[in-house]
Amino acid sequence: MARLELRDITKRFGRVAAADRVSVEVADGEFLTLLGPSGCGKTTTLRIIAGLVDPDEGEVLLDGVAVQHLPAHRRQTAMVFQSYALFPHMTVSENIGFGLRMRALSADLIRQRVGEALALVELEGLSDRYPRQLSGGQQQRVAVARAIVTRPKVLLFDEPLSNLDAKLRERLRLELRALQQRLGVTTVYVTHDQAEALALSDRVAVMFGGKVVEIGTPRQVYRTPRARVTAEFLGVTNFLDGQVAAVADGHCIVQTPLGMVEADAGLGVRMGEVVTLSFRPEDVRIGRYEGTAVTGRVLHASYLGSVTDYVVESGGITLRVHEAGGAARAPGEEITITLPATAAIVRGG
Amino acid sequence: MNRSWIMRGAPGRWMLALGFFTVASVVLIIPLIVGVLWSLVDPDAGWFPPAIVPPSLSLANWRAMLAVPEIGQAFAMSFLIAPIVTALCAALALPTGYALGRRQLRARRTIELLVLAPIILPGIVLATGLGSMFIRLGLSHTVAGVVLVQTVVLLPFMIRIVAATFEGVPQDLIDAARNLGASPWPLARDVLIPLVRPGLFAGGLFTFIGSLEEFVLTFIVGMPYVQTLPVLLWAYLGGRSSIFTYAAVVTMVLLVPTIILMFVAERTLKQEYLAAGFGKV
Ligand SMILES: Nc1ncnc2c1ncn2[C@@H]1O[C@H](COP(=O)(O)OP(=O)(O)OP(=O)(O)O)[C@@H](O)[C@H]1O
Ligand SMILES: [Mg+2]
Repeated sequence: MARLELRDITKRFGRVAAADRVSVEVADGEFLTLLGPSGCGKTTTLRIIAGLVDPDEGEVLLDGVAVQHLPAHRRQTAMVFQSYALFPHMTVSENIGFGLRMRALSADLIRQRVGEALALVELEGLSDRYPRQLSGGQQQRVAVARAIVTRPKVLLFDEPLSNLDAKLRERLRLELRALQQRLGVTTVYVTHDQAEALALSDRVAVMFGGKVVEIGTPRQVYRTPRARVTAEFLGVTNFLDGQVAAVADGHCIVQTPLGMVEADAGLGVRMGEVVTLSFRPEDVRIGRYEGTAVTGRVLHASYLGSVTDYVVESGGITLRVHEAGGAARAPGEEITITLPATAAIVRGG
Repeated sequence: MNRSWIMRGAPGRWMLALGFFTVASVVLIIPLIVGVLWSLVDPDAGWFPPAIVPPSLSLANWRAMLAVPEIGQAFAMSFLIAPIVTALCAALALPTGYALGRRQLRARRTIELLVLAPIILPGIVLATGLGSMFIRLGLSHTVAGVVLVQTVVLLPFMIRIVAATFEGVPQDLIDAARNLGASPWPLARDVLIPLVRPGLFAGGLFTFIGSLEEFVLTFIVGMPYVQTLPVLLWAYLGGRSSIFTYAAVVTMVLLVPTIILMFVAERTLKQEYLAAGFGKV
């Protein structure tokens, strides 16, 4: 167990800055997710923590001690790779025991710890199989068992679920989270799947172009993103420009083309400032409720199962609206929508 | 739909099998049969066109050949040199193959070219060059000289195969091993070498057989004291009058162990490994 800190980590590959002054703190036992689009530097950052890539600048600290000069094999991190990286010439139990053999534990102790790890990931019967004789989900569990059996200070995951089908992914997601909480191990998890990030994490660090643009709890980054890119990346959102009409203790009123909307003013907004609001499709309600209601016309409807996704046009502005329940509104229909009680102010291009 | 499947699938396969069989019989089976027949030709009757098979068979050639010590000595020489050359090539190819396959070397292209030069150069050019060099170095007429010269020509193949195998090892596996606490030596011992073992085997097999069959350089450097089976073969075929019958016996002596070796190797190695190793050469 340990506290992990990255300070101004920078890594360039030629012209590309894969990690650009990345600073993150992960508390003891915390589950932090690095979330971002492909190529934003998530894997690079993770590999820097593991010591598999040397940063050009910056420091990696474990419990306050700089470790970036330590070679990978002495970092005491354990990584679960996207490809699982199981050794093809070793059985399941040899794979799991590899890290323990490298630490020169006694054969008895290795057998015992491997047995425990196998039980933890529910693979007891498969210990003598080779990786190629396992399903993708089983391979994934072996990779997890191999990582946790060494009792690392920091557990690292690089998109460990991305090669599995959606159903299994969801189940293993829950199992991973339960396991991490049971072990209480500090964890950094990399994914480009926002649902995964929200479901698993204590906090989410959103990365773009090598930079961490925002860190917060899943609720914060989803409900009240500070950066426009965060709002966009974490699912469908509506942007609405407006001018700040009033500011009072942490809240403000923004005058938009559709009417007044209240917003969180945590970023120190000024009177008269032009801002962009972001709110989720499920925050817009169809019908007239308390708040700002406007009329609009349905342009497009797609049934998604749990909700119906509408594209609604009102006063020259199109909004995405999600409605739960069975009501079906046809394109062309005139409806009344109520804007959310509170929206987020987002910055940046 | 159904028809096109039949047209494309089944006859395609049959054609392939037929083609393979034809090639195999032209390059392998027929010469083998002819070789066996030649070694069994009755020296009193001979074998002259237009006879398709010799008029009478006997073991006279075998008896005559096995009576002279030459063939036994050549056999021993061949099977002394081949393992040494193989071991030497393996020892040299392992680090070189690693460097070429896994390291981001700046001079990689140049090194590759140098390593591959013996493959690219015409054999006879290489042979005369190396031969005269070895003579000047005082290495001619010695087993050590033959071992060295064979290593020089066979090493590039070995390096090719081993480098390709090293290149095929996924970086993630190496990273995973390091991440789990493997320092460089255990990493090599427990992960890298086991993973390239199939390539090493395949390369070793090539080298071993290559050494058994090598003639030009062995002849130039070893002559007349180091006589391997191919050199002996030449003695029977190269003169004014080719003694086909004796040559055929030598060929069998050379061929049979080679074929046995192939079979043993094929059984020991997994077929997929062989395919992977050979496919990349
Ligand atoms: N070894 C390398 N050599 C050169 N460029 C690299 C190397 N590794 C990464 N990069 C570059 O650095 C950037 C970040 O790569 P990284 O693998 O960290 O992205 P990622 O966020 O993990 O993406 P993905 O979700 O696709 O895995 C990319 O532009 C990539 O091309
Ligand atoms: Mg990645």
